[in-house]
Amino acid sequence: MNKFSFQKDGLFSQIFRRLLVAVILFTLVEVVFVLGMYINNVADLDQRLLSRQAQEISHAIRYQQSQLIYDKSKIIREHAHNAKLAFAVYDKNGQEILINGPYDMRPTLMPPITSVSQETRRDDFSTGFRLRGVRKLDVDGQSIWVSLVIEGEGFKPFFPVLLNEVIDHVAIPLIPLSSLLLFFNIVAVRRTLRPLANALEQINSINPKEIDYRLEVPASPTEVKDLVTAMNGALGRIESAIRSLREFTADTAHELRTPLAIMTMEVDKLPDEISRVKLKKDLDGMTRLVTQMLDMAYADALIIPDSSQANLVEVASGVISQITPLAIKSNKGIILQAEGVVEINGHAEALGRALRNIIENALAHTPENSNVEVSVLSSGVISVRDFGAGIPVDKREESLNRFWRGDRKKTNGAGLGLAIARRIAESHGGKIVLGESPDGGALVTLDLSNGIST
Amino acid sequence: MRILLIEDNERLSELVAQALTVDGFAVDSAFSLSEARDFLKVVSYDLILLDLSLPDGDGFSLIKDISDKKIQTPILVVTARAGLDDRITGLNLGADDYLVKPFATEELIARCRALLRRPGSVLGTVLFAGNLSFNSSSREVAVDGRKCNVSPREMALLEHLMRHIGQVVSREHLENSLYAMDKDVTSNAIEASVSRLRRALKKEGANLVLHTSHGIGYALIPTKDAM
Repeated sequence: MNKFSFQKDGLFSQIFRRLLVAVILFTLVEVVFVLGMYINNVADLDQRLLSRQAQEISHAIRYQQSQLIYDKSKIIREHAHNAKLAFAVYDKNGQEILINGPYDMRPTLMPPITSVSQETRRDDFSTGFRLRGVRKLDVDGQSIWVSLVIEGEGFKPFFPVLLNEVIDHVAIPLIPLSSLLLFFNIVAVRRTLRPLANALEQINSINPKEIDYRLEVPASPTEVKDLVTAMNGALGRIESAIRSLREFTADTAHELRTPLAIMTMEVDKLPDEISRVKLKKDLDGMTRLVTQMLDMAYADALIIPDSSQANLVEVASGVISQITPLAIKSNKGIILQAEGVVEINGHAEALGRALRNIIENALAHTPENSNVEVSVLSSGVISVRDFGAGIPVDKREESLNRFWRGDRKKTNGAGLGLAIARRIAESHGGKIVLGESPDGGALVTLDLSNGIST
Repeated sequence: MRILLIEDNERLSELVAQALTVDGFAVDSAFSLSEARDFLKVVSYDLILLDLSLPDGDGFSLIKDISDKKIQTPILVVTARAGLDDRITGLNLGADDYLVKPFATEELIARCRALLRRPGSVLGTVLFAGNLSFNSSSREVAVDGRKCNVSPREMALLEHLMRHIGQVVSREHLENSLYAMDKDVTSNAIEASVSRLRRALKKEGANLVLHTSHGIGYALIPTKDAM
């Protein structure tokens, strides 16, 4: 699942960034909206400024022993910047508890009227404004009246009020809302994209040999479903392209057999021995190529029925009987070491072709007057050794691939031999191991012990 | 010896017919299944060479017809089909041998001869291999026409190997057919016969090699100058 963790270009960081931008934009719009609203409604601002200031003053008042007292340790903060403030606090009997502010402003303080809970008055001068008002507030269950005068200029004194309004109306609702939104988004996306992560994992594990592999289509969400379905469609088209290419190869190879037969028979009639032998060798090479191309196609399509049994000893002796006459012509021999019956669940003809390719390979590399030794072990392992130069360690893995040829001058094959053998071995749940025999030469092991009948 | 050749490729048909004619066979060429069926109605053949992919159907259907009618004529399938199960399918249906294209002329002739020598068909009694000849009724062996002395046991061995010239004959098969009656045969009786026969062939100047295929059996193979 780490594919969807918080990466720079990951979906989550993208969602996070976009959401953040959206939140900022939304905040700005709201701020502008709030500011615009208040700027067009100065009276409201006045009221709020006074109320806010009165509230702040009231924090310094406490009711103690049936008496309202002024707690001097509490600092009364002035909320109006660049403005002068004077205020007085009265109890319900009109008794002044506290008075503060420049003396020249004090006389303008409005006297409290018990029946009035809130009053605001604004006077504008050429030099600025004066706000006066009374607020009835509640302190520890006791009503108090705060009378205030604020003198100032322009908008600056209202900034704290505006800021407060912005925080109240924009930040407080938006921050938790957007955090929640982000959180739910991430959870939702993670959940929604789980099928995508599964698909990704499946895509990554596609084996190039399994061209018929398709991804599991999730039930939801539709978008991922569509993507996976589209991906499967693409895989299908690739498969049919590969198949038609393979079929084309196989068809071509198949169609070449009859013309090759005609050429072989024509060449057999040639009176000139030297050119006949030369042409015959070329034709043999072509025939081998055609055979290997077809065998590769058959190996790719090989399915082994559960009931199909093959006796490896019989397979080996059959193949060796077929190749021996050809080996003798090039002064080489094949020795079989095997006894009894070694049965496995397998396709005898296919195994024969696998072994045939391995032995032909060994015959091509073993020197004249030497033998290729084939052993069939009761454990389901067939080993083929020759007395040639062997296969270099670093070339072993790639030599099992298609169209690999060690020494291009030496072999006339297409380099498909070991690939065919490997494909057939794998179809049987087995493998091919390339090694060397103690006294030089290659030792190719066809390990079919997985299919051994018990 | 009359052979029916069923092959739709005219060039190949011509070449095969020519090669078989040179070897002394009489050949009728059919280019389709229906033509082949017409031939089979009026002529009795010693061998049928059958291509599988024919313009008017699959050769397998003809094999089925022939074996249903209990006709003994051996059938050699000559085809481009080399799928993993094609050979077994062909043989199971009743074909006697299966040869995949392309093939060497000598291989085709050898397969034809091997089928004609099988019990049930009219046998040619003189077998040839390289400069060696063997008359299976008069039991005479000759190299380049010169009669040679070969003991009966080695002669039986030679006959088996000559019937499968160029092929490995399993030791088991030889033991079963040569010493079936002999209960007190020792395990190295075959080896002794083989080495005696090998010496005899060498002495008489036969251009054939008696090859030991270790772990499997023996093969009589013409040397290079015999080909």
